[in-house]
Amino acid sequence: MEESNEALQKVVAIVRIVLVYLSLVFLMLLNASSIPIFEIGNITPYFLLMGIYFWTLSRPGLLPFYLSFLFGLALDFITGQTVGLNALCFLLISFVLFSQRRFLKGQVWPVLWAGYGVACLFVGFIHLLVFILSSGFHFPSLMPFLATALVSVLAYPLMTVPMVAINKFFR
Amino acid sequence: MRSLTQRYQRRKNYRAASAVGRVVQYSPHALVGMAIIILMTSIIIPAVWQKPRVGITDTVAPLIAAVGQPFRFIADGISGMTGITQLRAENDRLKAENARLKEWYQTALLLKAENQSLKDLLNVIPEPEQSYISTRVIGDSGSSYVRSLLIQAGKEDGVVEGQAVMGSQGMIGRIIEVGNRASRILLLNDINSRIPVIVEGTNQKAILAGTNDSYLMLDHLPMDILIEEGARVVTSGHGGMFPQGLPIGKVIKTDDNQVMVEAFTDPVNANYVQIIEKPDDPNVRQSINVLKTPMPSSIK
Repeated sequence: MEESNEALQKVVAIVRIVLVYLSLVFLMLLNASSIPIFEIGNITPYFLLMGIYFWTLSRPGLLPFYLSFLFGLALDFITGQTVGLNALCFLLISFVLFSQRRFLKGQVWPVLWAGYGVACLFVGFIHLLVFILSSGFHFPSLMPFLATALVSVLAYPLMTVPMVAINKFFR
Repeated sequence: MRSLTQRYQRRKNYRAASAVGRVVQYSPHALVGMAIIILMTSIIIPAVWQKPRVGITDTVAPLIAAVGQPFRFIADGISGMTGITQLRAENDRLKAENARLKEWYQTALLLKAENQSLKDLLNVIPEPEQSYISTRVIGDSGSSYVRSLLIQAGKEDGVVEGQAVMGSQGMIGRIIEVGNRASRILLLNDINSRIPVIVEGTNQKAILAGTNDSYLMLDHLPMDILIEEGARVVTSGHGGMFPQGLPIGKVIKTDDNQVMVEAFTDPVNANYVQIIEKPDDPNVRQSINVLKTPMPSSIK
């Protein structure tokens, strides 16, 4: 009886871990797909960043630095963006989140939401910087940068609902 | 003897564990270094990452299409429900346009016949026939700084790198990466896009450059050239990359010798695209056949 309980617990533990990674893969594919509902002009929210941010804070053991790096690299490959750009961004975000985890852990939801907004602005700024460098110092309009951050922040509560449900399943 | 082996094994395990610990401890810095190196190589030599990118995109393309499908279905449903009034107005407009186009069709038939008879008189070599591959857009770059689309057609469907891609009313880009089942289009408004074009009316050749904005820019124009607003911009066919005369857009403003072009098709809302297949030029084929023909024995 105890053995079967142990086996069941092991299966549940594996399912939980698989669900976390599946949510990240789903967000990555969502980031790469052309979805008219979420797009305002040419703006797509930072879907994968939502997953990286949420799971690094909620289950840091499941998302070490190298996995954030690999997810970012995979996103660069499938979206045709400059390879290494999102890998670097997600890695730096993970760094900051790991270092500030104690502070962020005790915070209320609006603070965490605002934190995601800061992460979006940071990623957008790095994207902008790399674009300026790679395009021979062509300075684009700041509108897309700010609009992407805004749309991402607004979409965050909606997109985190399933991740919150998975996280509750852990307890 | 046994305890010695066990001690040796334990020491070995400890060393291995501490080595792993060291790697884990310093891995974030190593990873940042690696990310910067990858980023730099990608900026300086983008071709380095083309093969893995094509391979990964090709593998993941069916999943991207599957993830986007329910959302596209919902979007279609919403636009179907809210668009009945719009549809009526659109129907009236299309009826009027259809009546006007019927008149143009008759004129076009007359002109075509006249053109053909004149070509026959002058013995003009005919242009090769064009064929199209129609396919669905399944993904985009997800970034405001890269203007590209992912389509669900690849080598297996006859897609080749460099082919022109048309939207509903005009050219929107060209194929830059081809996998077996998926390909990537570089849109005309991407900062890296350059297309040889001609401005109708003036017959002026130019290069159409992307600005990463909604408007395109005409480059390499002479200083003293006068281009009127509304002039059509089409592909010039120079370099043999694209067929001649593919519509792209119209000139919208001319400030400080900067001529801007508004594209006929906005690629952002493109759900389906047409890829223009590079035809086998019958003239080239004829020349090859002549070369392949065995020489008569008298010449030998």
